[in-house]
Amino acid sequence: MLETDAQTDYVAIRFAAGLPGFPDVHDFHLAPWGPPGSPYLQLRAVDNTDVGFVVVPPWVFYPDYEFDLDDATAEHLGLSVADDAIVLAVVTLRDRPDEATLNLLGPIVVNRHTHDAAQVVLPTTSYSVRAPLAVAS
Amino acid sequence: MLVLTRRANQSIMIGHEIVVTVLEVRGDQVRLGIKAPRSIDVHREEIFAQLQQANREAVRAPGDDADKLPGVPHRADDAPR
Repeated sequence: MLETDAQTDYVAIRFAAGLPGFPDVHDFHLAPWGPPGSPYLQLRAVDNTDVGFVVVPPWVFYPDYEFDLDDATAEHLGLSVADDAIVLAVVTLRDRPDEATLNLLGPIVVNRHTHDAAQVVLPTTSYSVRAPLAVAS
Repeated sequence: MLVLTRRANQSIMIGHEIVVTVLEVRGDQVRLGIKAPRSIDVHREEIFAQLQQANREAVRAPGDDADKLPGVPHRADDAPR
């Protein structure tokens, strides 16, 4: 999906506006995570080792997932066509794998060329911030 | 908190660039129009609060507990990227 630097196993991405709840954390490294072939990735804050997220392309679990990116965000991220965007959803891991949930209301959108990123707040409430993963599979 | 009384079709200005207009008042609902520069994000507060809460739940120090990852459906391989 994103091409990692030859010298490292991660891609540096930048959230100019931070993330909701973490407005001051801007720079992250995005790296593959989990067993070989895993679709999961890890998003690690560069300057704060306590801040990390597990993310996954939402279509892995919800093939029909879709949303319209608002013009303002598209402009912030320099996105003009959908193919330039990488979309990831934040996974909340809990004690058991079957309790994990996916945040479909606030997808992360990354410009695959500039690596500018934002967590979008979808105007619709038809998607949950805690969509089950186990049931979907 | 600053409190202002407005009627339908009246506005308030926040700074030089943000205009909030009362479009319609019907029962216990108020429709607002918001004109703001694109650099200003406008959200329904409760939706934004949900997202803050969800992120705080999801945040974790990067670790090796991949055993908590749910399994992936087989169709993962042909998911759009």
